[in-house]
Amino acid sequence: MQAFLSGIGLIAPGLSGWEAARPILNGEQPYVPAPFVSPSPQILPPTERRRAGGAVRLALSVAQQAIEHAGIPADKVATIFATADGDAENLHALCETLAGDDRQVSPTRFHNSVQNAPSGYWTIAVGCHAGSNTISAARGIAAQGMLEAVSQSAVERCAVMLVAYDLPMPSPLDALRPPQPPCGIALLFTPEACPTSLAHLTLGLATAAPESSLTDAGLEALRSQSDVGRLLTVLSMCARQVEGESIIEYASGRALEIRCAPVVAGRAA
Amino acid sequence: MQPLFVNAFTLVSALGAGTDATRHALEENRSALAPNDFEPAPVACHVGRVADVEAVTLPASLGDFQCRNHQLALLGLEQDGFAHAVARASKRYGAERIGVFLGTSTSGILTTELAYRARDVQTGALNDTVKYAETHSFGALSGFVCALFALRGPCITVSTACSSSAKVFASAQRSIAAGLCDAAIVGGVDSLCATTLYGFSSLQLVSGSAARPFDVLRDGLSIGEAGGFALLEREPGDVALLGYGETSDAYHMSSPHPEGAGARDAMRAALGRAGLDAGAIDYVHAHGTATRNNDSTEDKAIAAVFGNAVPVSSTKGAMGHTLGAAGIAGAVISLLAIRHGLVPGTVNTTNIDPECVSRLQLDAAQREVRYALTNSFGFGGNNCSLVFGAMR
Repeated sequence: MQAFLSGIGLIAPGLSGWEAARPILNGEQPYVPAPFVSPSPQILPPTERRRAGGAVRLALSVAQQAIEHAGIPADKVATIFATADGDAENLHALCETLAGDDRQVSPTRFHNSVQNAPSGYWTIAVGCHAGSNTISAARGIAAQGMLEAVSQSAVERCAVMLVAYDLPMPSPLDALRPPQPPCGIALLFTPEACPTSLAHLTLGLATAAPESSLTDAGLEALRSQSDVGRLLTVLSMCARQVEGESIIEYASGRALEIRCAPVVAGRAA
Repeated sequence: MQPLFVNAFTLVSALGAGTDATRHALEENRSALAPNDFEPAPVACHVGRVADVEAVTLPASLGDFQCRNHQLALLGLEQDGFAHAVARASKRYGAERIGVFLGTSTSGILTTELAYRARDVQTGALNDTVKYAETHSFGALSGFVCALFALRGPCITVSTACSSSAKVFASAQRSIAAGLCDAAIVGGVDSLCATTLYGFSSLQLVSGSAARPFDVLRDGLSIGEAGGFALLEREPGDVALLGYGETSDAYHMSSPHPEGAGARDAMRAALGRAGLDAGAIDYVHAHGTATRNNDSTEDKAIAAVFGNAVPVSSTKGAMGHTLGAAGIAGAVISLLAIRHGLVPGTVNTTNIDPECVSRLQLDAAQREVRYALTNSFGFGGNNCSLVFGAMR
């Protein structure tokens, strides 16, 4: 079960894009937590961009970053959107309306309540007719998303982009789960090496084992508190250009093992 | 694509619990749609409500998973010996080699909706008994089924609105092909809740009475609930998944592409993976929600692929549009069509829209069905078609 990682998008507190984050993830520069600023994805037409909620903005922004990094036309790339909590702002507004006397939800609020709304906005914005999936889980979302994306890329022999995103839930929903920081990570996989390929990844499921961690305390806090942020150990290996293995919690007492080998100039090292 | 045999499958819907009840209802052209009596969301419309869901008790050890969606899931799993088939597969292949791929668009959202109605008046806090991760969270359905059967293989919950429990067949096929598991439970569950009843109403997509797909006077869908499951494996049997096709319309969030281009391409992709020409298909189970737009665009798409050579029907006038469970419902009905030589009719429909050009079947008929195709199209232009076939 293998693929090449050929494009990266990353938005999290203190990590704004792969180019800026790389020297932080490989230890050259210190990690400085910074307040999260909700991004504005240029890929969305102005009206949709203005109206889009935080979840759509985050998902589409990291997706756009990864596509631009890979230099592959977006309309050819299958996508897998992965989120634990989806658009919780929208959910809160929806539930408040449904709990009121007048339960008239707005049509926009309703069609934005489907878990695959970001997928819809993305495919419309970039004119992509390839299939798109949206999966959801809790703690295992990072691992489940990675395994699904790499298997699709390997079996269907096509480029597949994982777009994983989560935001803190608004009150009162935030009391329902452990708090987590905002984090969006997009990983574009190709079955063959291409000029932008950074790493060759081999995946497998194994019995649950302690997750890999990061040495910087601030980055480790981000990684361990964010369901999506579990992917940071993979990005760290890519940033350090080392061969290595990362273990990420999956589900049902299993873990995802990811072996990473750096790729130089579009060829496996 | 390597076929995957469907050696066990089941469905519970308003038509009844289990495949025999479903098949008899289809043979007798019965509709189970009735005026909405779902108390949490008393929208004036017809619904396909499953009887006695409220009476289903979850095992004590899984009490945190308590919600209507999981009660409906359990009701489905107990039909047609499906739970036994899962247990046998787990023994045979090992618990780590069974994948679980389930679809839902509602999950347990009803519990959160109800919790919002009971918020603390002073603080706005939700009741601390709400078990979000085990009920409303979209990962909860596959988590529930994995816990129920102690399965430890790959698992995901797909949530792509009305294509969810069709796309899971594709994910499962890929995972088996990739060697991640040897067998897979696929399916999905969606249950009645306020979000969908009020939500579809706000979009003016809900019929004032009982949905009548492809009818000249059709005026919208009727929401239903259902839970269905299938077991996929390489072990030969009499029916198999032969192909899948997945596309995106890239058009609009809640309206389909006017020419049904994405739908047409999903059908062609499924046929391509199955290695079949359109002429080989004996029955098309349409998405057929009975909205003005879906039915006219889907008709164009079906005609573009099949002309008017193949009988087509929609069962959403019989059981309602079961949203996240519509994919598995269409799959199970297609499998029944193949196994029993049955082309279901389009219940509730009396006058086919004269603009429809595909060959719509109004009444159920006994006919050999060797290959069947089923469509599921979701919000955001998310399309999935599946092809099933007789293998003996």
